[in-house]
Amino acid sequence: MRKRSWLSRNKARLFSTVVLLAVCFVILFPLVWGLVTSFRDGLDLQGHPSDFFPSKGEAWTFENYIEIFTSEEYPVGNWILNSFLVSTLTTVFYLTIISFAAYAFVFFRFRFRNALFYFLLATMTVPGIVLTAPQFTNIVAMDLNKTIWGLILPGLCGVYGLFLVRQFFLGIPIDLVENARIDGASNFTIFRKVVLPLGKSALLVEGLFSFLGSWNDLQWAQLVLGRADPKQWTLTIGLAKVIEGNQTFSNVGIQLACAIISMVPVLILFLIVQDRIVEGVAMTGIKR
Amino acid sequence: MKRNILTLPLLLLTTLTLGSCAGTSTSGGGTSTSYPSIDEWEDDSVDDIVTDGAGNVVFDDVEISMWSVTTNPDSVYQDQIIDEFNRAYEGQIHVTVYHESRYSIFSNLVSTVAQDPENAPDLFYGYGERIASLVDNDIFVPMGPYLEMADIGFDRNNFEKALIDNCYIGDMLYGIPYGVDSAIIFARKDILEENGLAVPTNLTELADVCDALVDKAAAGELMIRGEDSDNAGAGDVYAWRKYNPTLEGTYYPFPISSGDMWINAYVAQTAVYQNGGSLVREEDGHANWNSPEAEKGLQILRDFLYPTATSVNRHPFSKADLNYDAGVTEFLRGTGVFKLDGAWSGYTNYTLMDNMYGKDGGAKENLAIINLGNMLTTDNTTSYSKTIFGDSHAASIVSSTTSRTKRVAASILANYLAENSGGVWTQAGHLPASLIVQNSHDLYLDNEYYEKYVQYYGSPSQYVTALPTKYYDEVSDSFSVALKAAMASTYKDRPIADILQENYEDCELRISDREDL
Amino acid sequence: MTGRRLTLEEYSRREARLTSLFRKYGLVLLFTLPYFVMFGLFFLYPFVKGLIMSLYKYNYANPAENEWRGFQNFYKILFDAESSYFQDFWSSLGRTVTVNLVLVPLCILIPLLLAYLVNTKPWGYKWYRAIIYLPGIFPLTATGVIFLNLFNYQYGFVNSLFGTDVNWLLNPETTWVVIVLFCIWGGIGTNFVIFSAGLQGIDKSLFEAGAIDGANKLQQVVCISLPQIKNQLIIGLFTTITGYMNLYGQNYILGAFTQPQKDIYTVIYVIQNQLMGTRYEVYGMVSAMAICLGLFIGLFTGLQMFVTRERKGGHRHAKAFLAFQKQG
Repeated sequence: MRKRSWLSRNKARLFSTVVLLAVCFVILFPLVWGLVTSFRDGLDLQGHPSDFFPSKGEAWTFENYIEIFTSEEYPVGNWILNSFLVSTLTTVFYLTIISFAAYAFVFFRFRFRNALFYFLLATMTVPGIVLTAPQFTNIVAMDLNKTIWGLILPGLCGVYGLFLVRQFFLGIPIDLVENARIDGASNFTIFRKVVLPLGKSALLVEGLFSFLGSWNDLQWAQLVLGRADPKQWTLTIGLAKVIEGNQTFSNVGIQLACAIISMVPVLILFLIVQDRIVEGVAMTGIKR
Repeated sequence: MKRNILTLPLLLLTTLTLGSCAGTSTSGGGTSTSYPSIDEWEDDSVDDIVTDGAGNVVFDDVEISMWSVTTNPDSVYQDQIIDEFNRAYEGQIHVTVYHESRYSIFSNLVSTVAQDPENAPDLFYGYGERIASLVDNDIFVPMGPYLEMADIGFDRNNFEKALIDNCYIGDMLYGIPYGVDSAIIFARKDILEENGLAVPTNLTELADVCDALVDKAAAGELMIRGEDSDNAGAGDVYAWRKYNPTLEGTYYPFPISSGDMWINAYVAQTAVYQNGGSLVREEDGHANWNSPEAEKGLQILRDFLYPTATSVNRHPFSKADLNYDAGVTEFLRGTGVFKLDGAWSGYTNYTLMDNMYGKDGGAKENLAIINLGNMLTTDNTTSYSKTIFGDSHAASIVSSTTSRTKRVAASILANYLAENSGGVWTQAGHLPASLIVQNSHDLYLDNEYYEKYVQYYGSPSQYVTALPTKYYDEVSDSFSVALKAAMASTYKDRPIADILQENYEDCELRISDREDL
Repeated sequence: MTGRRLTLEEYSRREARLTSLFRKYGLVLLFTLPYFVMFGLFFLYPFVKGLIMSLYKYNYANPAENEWRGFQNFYKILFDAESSYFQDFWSSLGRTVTVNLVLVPLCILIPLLLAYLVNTKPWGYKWYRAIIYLPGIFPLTATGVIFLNLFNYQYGFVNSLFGTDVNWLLNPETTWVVIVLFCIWGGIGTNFVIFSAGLQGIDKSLFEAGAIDGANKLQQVVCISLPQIKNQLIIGLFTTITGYMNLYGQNYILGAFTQPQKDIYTVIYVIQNQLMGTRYEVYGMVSAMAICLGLFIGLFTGLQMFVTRERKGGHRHAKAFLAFQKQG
């Protein structure tokens, strides 16, 4: 058999590479522009809009960032810590309760099991705004207003995460579980020793989704924590305030610096776990 | 299954609660004005007043909170005033302030008072125009009785009539007004002088000056100077150069943003009043801007962008469809001469010019400050041609405060703010509502910032604010939509009367829909 | 009640069944209770309250003024052509549905295409995966601010780059274009990851079998791999529709200067407008409007689920082959 040339063998890969490079360039472009412009003097941007980079050396500036970080009314360090706290707690609690619930949905047989699950899925069609006002009254009645628990607890009722984890559990070979049962292991042990270790990647993925959802939340966070001490705010609330106070376009730099600051922590987290994402989602299998 | 069982009693519970609430509807339903008259009003606060031997109220480490609609930069000045208050009343009253922007503070106030009264403020520092609708919803309580208890002699006649009238609902006082501010025109006096032009004092002069500037620029004879003036980074702000029309394009002497803020917040409304119109109909609180007078005012504004054969200016003042911050860079570079800015930016602009042209006389010689009086109407003989439309601040006591001592403390704070509406508040660019302060040399007239810029802001008696109405949202929202449409290039051929009529009908529809809820 | 005594066997069996039943259900309870408690407290309870609110004229500031309205709010929104609520709701619903008709296919097809491309494992494919997912992780306000400034008429880079003189954010048509671009930019990530994982999980032998049967590359794609990731497609469709019917944040940020602004209102935008300001009596109406939107979302997703349901014998070829393979 004549060996096919390298080109014809790798035609598909070459094509993919070219297209994907182009796509990635387009995707990264706004982010890079945002980053560069955040180091740029706002007035310089207004004067020379067609320059991608600041037109002269002096227009490069850390001023935007310095102003945000050193300003007394913006305790950015606190904000980042608070965001981390809230997001981490939410993720940990959420992963725990949905793992248990998903396990029950997959490995226990009880009446209405499927119906119940489809009901949960159906509730995903409800627009969040129906809940906002009554939820706030709820939180106040429970005395959780202005505390981080008011932020964390309502976030623990999402259905998408439950769905994802359940999908993953469905993909675990039933023999493993049955064998363990026959061996006399209690459900807790099976959960701990068989199911969880297999699902590290899947849980990591759902953990990331949950963390991001909590980190990026603005509207609810503003409602609950907005009137608390600024030191208690999360990063999104705080930066929204900064942008509000700098709406004039000569302060574009500050707006963009805020944007960049709010993006960096999640970027770091993402880079750490991004490798496992596709594997993790693959493990969910999404079979019926 | 467990869920069903739980939900059912909850369902019943909530229905019952709501049901019982519905039964006890007070006369404070949407339409009727339930404002008590001074003889009927009953104090619903808990009487925890402690008096000393002479009958004066004693305050023992009373903590009160204030929410304020001021944000940067005003909030900085206000915090200074609050600090002074805390020092003056140390051991007696302590105030904590919370600032939030106007876009969210009102709904937050209401939701907190209704749902979370313990966290609601004791004093609310907001806009005078909003007091009526908030009183309508039982958010504020009258201030008069508590001022009396604090032994403060409050006299209505010591305040600007327009502003204090807003604070009276029925015949009870619901708030104390502090001041008023609006938009101001800042001009490059140095450029005007260098080109032999005088600082304009009314619309006709403004149009003539702008036309002259454009003509000179087109002929290549306009002298300008400013930052980055030669576009090559030479950076000598003192050097004069000629404006190069072929390189730099058409000259726009007065960039105006039509997308947001200025036109929206003060300028358009001022135009309506200066031509004899008004925004709110006094009889029923509905919109009154669907009038030939309002049309005239908006037409003048539209002519700024799209001059016609009959307009007072021949050339456009500004490019169309500009956004928020139009004019800032042009002002600094000299490629524009006039710009609109808030009265509160007086300090920033003054210092900026002082620094930029320090060797050349600073702001005094190079900056001209023009208020909007006479600037938006061609007829300067009427009584209303100098009217300026602005925002006024006022503070009111919130109904969720049940302690009478706290209410009295709040009234003392409110009065303190009024007495201190000169001083550092003048630096913030606000004109005082209190006639006492206005006429005081100590507090106001000898203030260095009054000399520098506030004296050019006009007299507080020129200012008007919108009449209080509970349809404030519908009336102002529909007006904003109408005027943005009038200024947008998309609709520049559409008659303003049509635009006003269409939005007026929409406003009426929304008002009636709300009443019919 | 027979008088017969049970045998030991019968007795122990019955006991075992009862206790194991109890233990089983007890365990189910234990495992699921935390989640259901949270769900009940923080979803069902407010949801039911929201439903009830929609049946009243509900004054948020002054609950003493609440009055029972029955379905009158719903009637006004859905059927009363004279009321402003009707006009607002239907016009914004029309716009929302239109943009969904554009966005949803794009947000399914583009990630699918990219997933296929990445599946061929080009060099550095891990980087491509990360970058495609990247815009979706950032907060909306942050990326919105970037786009807002990028498309700014006075100093935005886009106009300079393409030499155009379009006031992107003034005209509703062009603003919608920017909004769609923004949504796609941020939205393809999740679906991409799901489809990518799905494609990876397909049994390779299926392709070989297909190739032997004479299928060319295109046929392989359409007839073999697509059905295999059918479930991913379905769930992706479901979440995308639900997500974009609730479109609001992007419009709010990018549409701040559009003239006339009502041309970029979506349903949630209309609702949020009603919630600002001092119109406190509209809370019941607002709840009703949100529920109406929910009904439409349910309608569309229900329709979608029905159309894409498992039909009998759907996977028979693939299933048969895999079964055959297992035997052999």
